[in-house]
Amino acid sequence: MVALMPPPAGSSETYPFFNWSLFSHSSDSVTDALAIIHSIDGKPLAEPVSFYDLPEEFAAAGARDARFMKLVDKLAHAINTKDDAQIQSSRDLIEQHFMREASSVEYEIAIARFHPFERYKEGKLRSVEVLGRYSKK
Amino acid sequence: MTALPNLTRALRALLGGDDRFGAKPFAGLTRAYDIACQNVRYFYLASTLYVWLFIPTLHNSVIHNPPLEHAWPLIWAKGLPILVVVDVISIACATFAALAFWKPANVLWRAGFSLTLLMCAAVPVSLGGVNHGYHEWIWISFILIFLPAQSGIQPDRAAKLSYCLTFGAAQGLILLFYTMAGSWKALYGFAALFRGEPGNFSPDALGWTLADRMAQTNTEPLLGPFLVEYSILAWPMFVGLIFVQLVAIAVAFRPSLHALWGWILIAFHTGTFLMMEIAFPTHIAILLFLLVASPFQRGPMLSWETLHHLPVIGGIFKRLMGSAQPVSTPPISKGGEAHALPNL
Repeated sequence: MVALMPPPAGSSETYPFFNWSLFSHSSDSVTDALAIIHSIDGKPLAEPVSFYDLPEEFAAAGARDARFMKLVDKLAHAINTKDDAQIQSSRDLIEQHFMREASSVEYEIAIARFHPFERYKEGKLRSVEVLGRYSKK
Repeated sequence: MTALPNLTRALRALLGGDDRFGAKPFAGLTRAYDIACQNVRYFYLASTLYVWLFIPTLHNSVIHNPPLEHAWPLIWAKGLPILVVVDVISIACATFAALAFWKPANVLWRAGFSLTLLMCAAVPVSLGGVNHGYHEWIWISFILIFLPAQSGIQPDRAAKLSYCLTFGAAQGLILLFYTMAGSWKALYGFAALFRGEPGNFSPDALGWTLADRMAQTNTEPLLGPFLVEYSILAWPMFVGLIFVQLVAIAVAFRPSLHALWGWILIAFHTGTFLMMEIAFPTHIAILLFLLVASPFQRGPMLSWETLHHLPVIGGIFKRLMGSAQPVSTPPISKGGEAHALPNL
């Protein structure tokens, strides 16, 4: 019963209770929060890419650490609800832990809408809405 | 006044079907108790190994002193050097697991393991996201705290019953988790059907999920690209998975299906690795202890009678095979059919 109740504000669940909703929703139209990296250590990338497309630069990307995408979801939610304390807390973790290999990073938190096959096969996103642009210094 | 017994009877029929524990539910109790005791010891042996293997990962996750969002089991550690805290709780966890393997009757070791495991699994939670691979492990360890204290020392019938009941509760809880997972998939699937939109019952459903995951995490699992290209092949697999998960709780009450469902769910977790590179090693070990080597398994894992016991579709098999009579279930075997693990 606890697992099915709404979690505390800012949390996705009440640990260690879990509603076991994992990959429950399949659709040809997906909405997802992304961290899009623009520059690392002052050097702009040839084109902005998702954090997970930089396995050489970030160990967490190389390890496909799923906690990063959960943290980005949490940050996107905090931006939408204007929860400044949660924004700062999530940014601290993202920048000091998951991006610790770089001394400076320019990145955006965005909501992307896409067809899963189009994104996988062609890298195509149907729309991107930038929620915030941040820099790790 | 008769509503409650009728409701109970209807629920038993729904969950247990023809494969109820029968008029002699406690036949073979001693053998079931012995197997349950063995499996509990194997649980703590595997826990010892797994936690020791996990210690370097936990250590390395905090070695750079990250800014933690302390999950509630680690609130007490605020202000303390996190590397020391993590090393102490993880080594304590492995030690409690080893002690519980050595003396499983000692509630202190079992409770200590459960508590320290809760704290160890709270480390990744404090780093931004929950790792669901530990949830089943935590809950099983919690349930096993309630094993009767006197077990192992010439237990009486009540202690054996209590031990088997606790073990059965662990089986039921794990199967409930799978039913919860299946319920969400079915709910979203039927909601999409109702709205006339593509969803979980669409032929491409699993292909979309795999493509989304691969693009999101930049991975190339062994079977992922193939099943995206030919996603129609994955359709029956995905619909079958929804069924297997949705009815899992009924299997807790159908002992002849324990081993079969254990293997099916292990195949599912193997599939999630081959298709998505998501591994749940703890879940596989738990399914081995609880279901594949279930102390309550009746008869062989695969037989025509087993098909009759399948939830929802068992009746169809019964009609197809022309058997109108209820199927009798043999008592827990005294031979090797209960898939007991070797004695420790």
